[in-house]
Amino acid sequence: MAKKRSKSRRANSEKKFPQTTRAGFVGAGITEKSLPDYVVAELKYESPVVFTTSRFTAPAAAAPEAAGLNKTLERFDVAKLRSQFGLKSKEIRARIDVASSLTEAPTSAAVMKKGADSSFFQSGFVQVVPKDGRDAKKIAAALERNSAVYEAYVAPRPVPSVPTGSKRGSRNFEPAQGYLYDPPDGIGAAGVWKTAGAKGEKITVCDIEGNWNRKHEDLPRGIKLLGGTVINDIGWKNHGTAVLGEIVSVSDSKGCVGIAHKASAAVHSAVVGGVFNTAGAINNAASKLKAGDVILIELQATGPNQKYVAMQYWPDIFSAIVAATNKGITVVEAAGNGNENFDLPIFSNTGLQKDSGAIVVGAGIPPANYFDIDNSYNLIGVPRSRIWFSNYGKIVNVQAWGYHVTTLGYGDLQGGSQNRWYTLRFSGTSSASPIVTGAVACLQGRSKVKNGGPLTPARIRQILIRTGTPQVKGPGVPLSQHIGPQPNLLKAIRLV
Amino acid sequence: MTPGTPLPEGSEVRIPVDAKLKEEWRYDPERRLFRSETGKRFSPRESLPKGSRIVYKAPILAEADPDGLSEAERDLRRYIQIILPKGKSAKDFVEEIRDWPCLQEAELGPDVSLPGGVSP
Repeated sequence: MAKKRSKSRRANSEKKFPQTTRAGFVGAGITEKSLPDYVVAELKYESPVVFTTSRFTAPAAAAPEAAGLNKTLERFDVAKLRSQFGLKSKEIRARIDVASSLTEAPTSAAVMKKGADSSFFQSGFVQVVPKDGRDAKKIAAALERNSAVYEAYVAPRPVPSVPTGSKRGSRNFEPAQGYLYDPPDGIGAAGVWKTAGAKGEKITVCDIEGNWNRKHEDLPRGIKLLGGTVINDIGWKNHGTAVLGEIVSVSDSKGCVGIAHKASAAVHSAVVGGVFNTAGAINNAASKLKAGDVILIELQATGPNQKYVAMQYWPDIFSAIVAATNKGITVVEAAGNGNENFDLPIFSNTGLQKDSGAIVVGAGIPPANYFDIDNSYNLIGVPRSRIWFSNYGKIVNVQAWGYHVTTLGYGDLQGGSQNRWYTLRFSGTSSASPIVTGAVACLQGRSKVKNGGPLTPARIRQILIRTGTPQVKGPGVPLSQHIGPQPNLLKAIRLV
Repeated sequence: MTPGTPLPEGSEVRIPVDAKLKEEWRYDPERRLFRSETGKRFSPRESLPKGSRIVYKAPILAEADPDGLSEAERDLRRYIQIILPKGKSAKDFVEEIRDWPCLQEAELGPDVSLPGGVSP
């Protein structure tokens, strides 16, 4: 990606952390006074400025830039400077060589060519911690006027969940559902909900896997099991519940809110007659759905390289998907978590190199889930680059968050009875594909209102690809490892 | 990161032999034998243990008039599963099943898992 950087972070964080989203949901509205505000300043790639705990320094050629920054700091009572990513001083100083070799306003591609790794990108982020948090805004504004600074902003506060008046004391986790928010971070779901039909109205989504907690407090009543027998296992049950939660969590003051929370949900187990019969499940589900509805295949299986691959590798499943899409049913399929390249010769003439009509979904790295701030995001890579485990290749059409998705089930975020379990760590192409499924339901719901009927699956897929926020490369994960763009509903809705 | 959630240990879900019928063959579940359009018959009884089942993967399509089906549906209606009884492994039978005259191909069913779970 040879694009100039855009200063979207500050605008996004300011939009998100006030506690009301566009859809009017009230998030966690607490202010933790014991957490002082601080400033995050990002140094320009080409500025060979570094910092200690008290001041900025630079080699002679860039000494005026460091001096300018220190002059700014002197105007305020600053407690300390520290690395946003906890880098040691040696790692911070290492940025000097790369930065000194760069021309003005380099693209990220140019920076990578100079040998920059993730440490280099992280080394430019400095936290400026004032003694009085009320100075943070002024410090940010003053720092941003300095030529060495790319941008500076008051750090967004982690947003813990709090009781929001539910009689049963359940909590509201919507602020942690970053995938709902505007691109480039999320898919812009919350931004289109005000458009008639775009909450997935009159669309049914059928999830094919193995078990679900259909009695979860945050799922709509009446989710039908269309066929198959459930797998009696808590892991499988949590998984299905998490998937449904991303798509159809009820919009209220507790728990999560689904991307297409006005859509209807149904489920079908892939186990039929005591064995897996995914093709049969797809075919049976398709027979009970109508054009415009969506089938989600939340399964993977071991391929010829002993790595997980997408289910359309198997020819009967490929045919079942083709048959469903021919009926106008959009099929969304997890690419699988095998770190497998579908373009390898071994997959010639298999479903991994042919178009089944499905939307195949890879897993991308999220920016953060706005809740679980533990620096792990920076360790796994660059947002919207391929996560190491995601399968990739030409048939992988789009990506979505494949890590730390907040949704229902598992109980790591809220425990208690199973019906009140929530997680902020749902991951894999498992977490990515329901995001895309929700996006499809939003677009099809909108199309029914606007056009009087749904779009074809091919058109839906084309819109998602064309309008999506592009994939980004990261260290060790070049763009040739294709997982496609992340849906952008704000743009996509205009093409419906 | 857990790349997948496998079936739980001790799961009742079995691995079948997944097979595709040759174009001119059909399975008659009532008589438990295969018939070809040209009148040939093949009984699988001798090569399978007692309690084995043979089912169509897409029974709705298997019963439908093929003329009213799409090409993908006509393809899908040819797939069957041979399900061995408890205690018998499909691995031990797949080679012999491949030799059945009515089949175009036969493989062990895929080792299916979930593409994710919760990560640390």
